[in-house]
Amino acid sequence: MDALDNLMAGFATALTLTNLMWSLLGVTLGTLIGILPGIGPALTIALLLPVTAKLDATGAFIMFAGLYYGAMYGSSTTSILLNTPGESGSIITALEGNKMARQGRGAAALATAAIGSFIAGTIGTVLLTFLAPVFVKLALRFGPAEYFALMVFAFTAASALLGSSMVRGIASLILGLVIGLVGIDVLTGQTRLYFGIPALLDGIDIVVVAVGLFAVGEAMYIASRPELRDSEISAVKGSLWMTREEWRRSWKPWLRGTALGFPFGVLPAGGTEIPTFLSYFLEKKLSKKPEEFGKGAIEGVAGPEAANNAAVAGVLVPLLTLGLPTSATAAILLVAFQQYGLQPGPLLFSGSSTLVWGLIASLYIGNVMLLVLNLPLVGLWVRLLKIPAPLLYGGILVFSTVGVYSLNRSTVDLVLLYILGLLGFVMRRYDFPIAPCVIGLILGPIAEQQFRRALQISQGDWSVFVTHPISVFFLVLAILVFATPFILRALANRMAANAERSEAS
Amino acid sequence: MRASGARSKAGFFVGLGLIALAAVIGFDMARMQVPPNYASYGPQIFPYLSIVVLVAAGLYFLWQTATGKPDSIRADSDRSDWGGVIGISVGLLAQVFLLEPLGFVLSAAILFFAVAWGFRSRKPLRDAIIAILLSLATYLVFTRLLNLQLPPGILKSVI
Repeated sequence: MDALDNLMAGFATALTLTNLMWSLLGVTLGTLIGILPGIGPALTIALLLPVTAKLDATGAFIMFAGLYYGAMYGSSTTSILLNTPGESGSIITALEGNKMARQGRGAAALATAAIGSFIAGTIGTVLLTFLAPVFVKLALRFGPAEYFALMVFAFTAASALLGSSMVRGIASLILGLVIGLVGIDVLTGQTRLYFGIPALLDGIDIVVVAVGLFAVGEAMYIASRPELRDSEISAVKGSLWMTREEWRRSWKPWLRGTALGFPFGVLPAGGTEIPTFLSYFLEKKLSKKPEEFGKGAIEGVAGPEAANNAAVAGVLVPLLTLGLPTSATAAILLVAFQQYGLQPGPLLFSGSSTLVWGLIASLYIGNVMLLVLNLPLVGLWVRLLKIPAPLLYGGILVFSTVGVYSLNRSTVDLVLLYILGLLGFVMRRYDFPIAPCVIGLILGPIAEQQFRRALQISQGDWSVFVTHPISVFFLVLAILVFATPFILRALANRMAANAERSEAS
Repeated sequence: MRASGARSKAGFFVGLGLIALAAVIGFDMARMQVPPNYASYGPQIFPYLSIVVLVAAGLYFLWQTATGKPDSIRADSDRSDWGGVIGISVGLLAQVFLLEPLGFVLSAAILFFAVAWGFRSRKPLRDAIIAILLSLATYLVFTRLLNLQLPPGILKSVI
């Protein structure tokens, strides 16, 4: 019961007064940014990086993790009451949740979302506690070739699954990779893509890219779409205490949503969006009253909300044990680890076990705090939705420039911020997913290092990637991820043809 | 048809943009001198890989857009309000050029006001007051409490 001992030690760390305070600050900030449209966990953590540089690492990560969990809770409130999802993982929640709010059942929708998030978050954290040591054992057998193959798999999964089309995902990924190339190559000292600008020699800071794509690009996009600017807020109506009937209809979707969400978070298969969609369609399929879907079915809120919180817990497994981020927020968290000179991976669990287990224990505590923050206090949070968009985005941009300028106290970074903001705007406008770009930016340089190190060890022999069994396994998985959409489409076509034939006969 | 005209123009720019980026990388790689013992696993492999993918994606989008295929490049809405993009651009460029000479408080207030204007706010007085209060408060919190330096500019003797 190694994991249990470690977890107990983790609780000893997490339950100190300072760390409880960091956790509370994190979950509160997370709920806040989850509720506010236009600002998400990836952006917030990126903006906090310069400020937290001097803090104690354990406290900072407890805060960041609370923030990530909290954003998922908060965004469901926005989805339900405003019909604009606060984060991409809550798009589905808006479908049924907002319908419920309009029928005066908003309180029940908020309650099933919050309790479902709590249950899924807690089960997810338990799974994280016991899976992490298993992953660590596995990861210890990885060499550069295996790591490179794993990243190829992560790249293909991110680009194939995160957007509306695979080529858009790949284009976004490569844009991130190219931004990551700028600066001095670590292994040879060669400069790449710096065009004689001294500020580019150290590369483009990830904070600048994240803030440009997420804050500036998003603000431009929302401002350019008049129909997105003003939405109607539904008041919280009904009782927050769910009826017996509502409990009966919610508990199975919560558990099924958790079962779907967690594995999707663990696999490099695209973070929180896909499991929420799958959970929604599963609930619709299993429901005895499928006709209620689209008109405010509580199962359609309970399942997807559980799925996205379980996915967040799942995302932490590969992040902490392999150093592999599978969502944009996880990618920024990886940068936060690097800022403290820590490298997530098997060695993190032996070298900084106090930090890791304190972090994991704090997730249990954070979940309890979030349930309290988001259920009885929901009325307070709702007031945030009344901030007019011009003031909200004005504030977001002021904080964005403060964060970016204080990195190096250089206005060159502000120029880069503007250019990247325009790139983010174009990507949003023409439906290119942003997350693969962030993942490419952060994993690209790591993948390149592992790739070249593997070839250095094999003295330039490329077969090293196909002779190591684990490496082959990941490369085959990567090919499968690429091929699956085509196979599914072919199957769907055949099924449609069959259905037509049987209808005709 | 206006809509399809706008669509093919955007597809044209996105497709060519990706190819142009590939050209820039190629140009940069051409001047790089790689030591021969690194030839098979040197710093040029990932850039070359990016060039290949960028050109392929660029051509793909040009083809999809020209033939009106499902993956063509088009804006997700026909109604666009460019005021927001202009407002945010003006505000950020003001921040680039005025931050150091004028100081953070004034340049950030200009940024805030420009963004609010871009979002079609109809209350300029309210926006201006909030802009100045917010940037002053931010300045004080960051410089006094968090010990991060922001340029004071012309208000140096006052704040």
